[in-house]
Amino acid sequence: MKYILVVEDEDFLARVLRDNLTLEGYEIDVAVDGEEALEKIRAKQPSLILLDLLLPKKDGFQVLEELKANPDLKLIPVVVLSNLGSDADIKRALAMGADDYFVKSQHPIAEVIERVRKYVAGAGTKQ
Amino acid sequence: MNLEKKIAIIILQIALIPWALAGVIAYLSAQEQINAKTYANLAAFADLQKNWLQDAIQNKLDTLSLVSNDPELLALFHEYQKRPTVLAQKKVQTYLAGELGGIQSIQKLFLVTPVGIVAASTDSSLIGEDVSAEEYFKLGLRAKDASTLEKDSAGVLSQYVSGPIVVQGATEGVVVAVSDAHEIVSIAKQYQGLGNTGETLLVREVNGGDALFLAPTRFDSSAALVRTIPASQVNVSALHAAASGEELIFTDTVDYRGVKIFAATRYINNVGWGIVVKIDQSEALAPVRRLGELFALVIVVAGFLVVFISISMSRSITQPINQLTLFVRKVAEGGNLQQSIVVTSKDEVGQLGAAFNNMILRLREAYTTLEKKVAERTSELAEKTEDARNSEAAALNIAADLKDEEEKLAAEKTKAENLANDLKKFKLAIDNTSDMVIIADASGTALYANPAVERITGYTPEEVVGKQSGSLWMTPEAAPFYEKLRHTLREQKTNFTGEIQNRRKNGTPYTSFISVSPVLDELGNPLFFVGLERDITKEKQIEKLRVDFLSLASHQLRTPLSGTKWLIETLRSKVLGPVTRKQDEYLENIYSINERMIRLVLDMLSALHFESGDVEVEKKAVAIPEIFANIMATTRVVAEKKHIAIRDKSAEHEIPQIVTDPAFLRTILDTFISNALNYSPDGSEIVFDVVEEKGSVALSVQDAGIGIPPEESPRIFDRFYRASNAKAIRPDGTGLGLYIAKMLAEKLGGSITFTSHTGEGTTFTLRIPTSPAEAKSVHGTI
Repeated sequence: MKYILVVEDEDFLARVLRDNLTLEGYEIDVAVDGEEALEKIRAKQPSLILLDLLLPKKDGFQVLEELKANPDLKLIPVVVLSNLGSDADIKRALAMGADDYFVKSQHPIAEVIERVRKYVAGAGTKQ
Repeated sequence: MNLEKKIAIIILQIALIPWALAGVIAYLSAQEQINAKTYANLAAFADLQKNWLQDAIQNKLDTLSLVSNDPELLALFHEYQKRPTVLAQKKVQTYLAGELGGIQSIQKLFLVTPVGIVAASTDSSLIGEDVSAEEYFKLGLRAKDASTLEKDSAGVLSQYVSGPIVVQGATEGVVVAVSDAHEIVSIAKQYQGLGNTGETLLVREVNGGDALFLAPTRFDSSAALVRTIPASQVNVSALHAAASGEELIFTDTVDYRGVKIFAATRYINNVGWGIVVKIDQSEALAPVRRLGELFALVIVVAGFLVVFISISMSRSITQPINQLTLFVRKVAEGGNLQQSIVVTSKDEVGQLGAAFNNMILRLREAYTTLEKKVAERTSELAEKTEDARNSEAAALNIAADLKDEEEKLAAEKTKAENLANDLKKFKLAIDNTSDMVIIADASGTALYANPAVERITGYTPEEVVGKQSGSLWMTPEAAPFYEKLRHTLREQKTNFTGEIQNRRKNGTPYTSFISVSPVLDELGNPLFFVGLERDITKEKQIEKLRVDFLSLASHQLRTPLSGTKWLIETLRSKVLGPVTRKQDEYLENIYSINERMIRLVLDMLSALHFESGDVEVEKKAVAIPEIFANIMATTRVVAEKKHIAIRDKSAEHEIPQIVTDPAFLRTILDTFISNALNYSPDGSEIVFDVVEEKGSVALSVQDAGIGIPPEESPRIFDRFYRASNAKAIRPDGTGLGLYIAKMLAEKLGGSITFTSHTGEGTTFTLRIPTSPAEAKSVHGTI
């Protein structure tokens, strides 16, 4: 079973993602801050990381930076799900190695699930 | 001849004659000195040559005397003379050959009998020759050491040295040594120190007075023993003097070529030769000649100068006299006493002019007094009758004049007071304004600083005045900025504005907004600069807080909205279980409300973002078809649902190049097209077009929608404003679309206009200037 890590501090968002993805047949774990996320990734490598940016302790950018600096982890695809919608934030995250970027309120959850499916299947491409 | 010329000639004579005299004296003295020097040089050279020659000859003679005094040779020769047998001759011959072997400088050695027959010789071909006619034999026989130059049969010049062979007091023959004449000739050929024409001539007297050249000369290499100067040729005096044994200096004579020379003669006693050391006069006198040329040039230049000076001096003397003459003539002939002469010089002429002026003044006075008296007398009577009336009128006039004057003065005073008051108010205003005001001179040095300078920077106006403006609070990082400021003011001479980080006296940084304007004179050069500086540190802090807040608000508002959105979506997807139709309707309502909130937040945040002013416009050439296609992709779903055709008319013709910010342009066109879609009936058409106009490009979107009610059109771009008919058909619009579009259009230097008829349709048009220059000029005329 494919394992996906959802990094999201908002309880209800984490839940709606977990429910939808579990129904899709994935194994889901949730990390509520940046440090927990890195611990969990090191403990067990996921097939995909869904990463929020504004997080307690270490934010999403820091998580992204540490992942991409680690040769073992840098190939794990990362899809950013954030409410930060400015061009600057999007460009920064993509430049740091994120594979995709969704401004949460701008996209239906079905679209997110669809993209997750593609990435996990290895067919995801950078937008 | 007039005075001017006379004076000029006198000055000329006075100035030029001493010059000319001094020049001639200098020239003559130089010539004399050079002549004396030349003679001394020639004499010294001649002595030197004489010594060399004597030494050279004496050397040979010394060698010869060794041979002629050899007792063994003498004995052998005596033996041969007594009995001239072959054996005796052979003995002499052998001995002679042995002798020659020891003397290298001699080539031949031979013995001659007293009758002139060669008895023995190192050159056996000479034996038996009669040499009785030869000079060297004659001299040798006279028991006298002799040296002479002869040419042998081959024409080679050789030196012959001969001496007598004396045995027991009787002369028994002559010994002759022949050697190369090279040594002698080379002395004669010694030209160094004699310039290009000087030389040493060797001569001997022949035929009782002719002078024969002994060696080749500088200008006649075949003269040796060939060329003679006959005694009859008296002008070649130096050669004859040398040949006849006189030692003299010749200051004016000619040489064998007939060229004028200076010469010194010497006599070589023991051989009877004379030498002449000489140099051409033309060469010796060359320096004198050059001096003469230089002097002539100086005389000519000085002459011109003196002529010029004498003419102008003469003029300066005669001009006042001429003026005076003209003036006196005018006074005398015209009788005009109302003039005086302008006397500028202080010399006698000036005094004369002053005296004239004085005289005319006196005359004028006398004349005026006379006229007055006559007038007085003749008008006395009339005057008396008019007097009373005149006095009265005069008094009235004076009173009126006085009153006028008073009023004028009062007006002037008021004006001055007003001006002073204005200035006072103006200064008060500047002193009390919260912005820094600095006035600097053209070099940038502060002339005035208002009290706000101290409030903002901490430096007192006294500290600031006299220093380069800004130098006290400028940070090192800001130096390039100040450099740009100076450049703008000095070179472009226009107003400069900008924001800059400065430092107060206490070290704390602050941000200012600076505006400096040059005040130019009529020629456009800066007279002084007026600088205004506002401390905008607080505004900057507030601005930063606002931006931070916006960013945070953006996140905080969106988080619950996006959560709600996804939760409803998940519910309605029925993956969690069935939902009744009624429940789904409700969910749909909540969903659309949530969507509206999302749009509203998004639009509000964009509006706030663009209003903040720190949005960078990034202009580049944009591809209209690409932007249009992009918008089509996002609006396709709605358009298809409403069966609305969007026609791109711009694709049917050439469209002009547009340089602008593509993201801004896309947002504006997206707003136009979205609005058109939202407010058009199903099945209608929307037309997009791009048209080039004068100085701008017009991008328009035309719909056949509900239109904008005329009474509401002025408010259509207001924030959150929505037309009543629009609200009626679409309650969920945010009222921010056109507001943002208009703001962006202005940031691009363009504008948005529309034409609309209620119920028929609306056309929105965005105009963008085609070049930045035109955009600027449009801006400038507002």
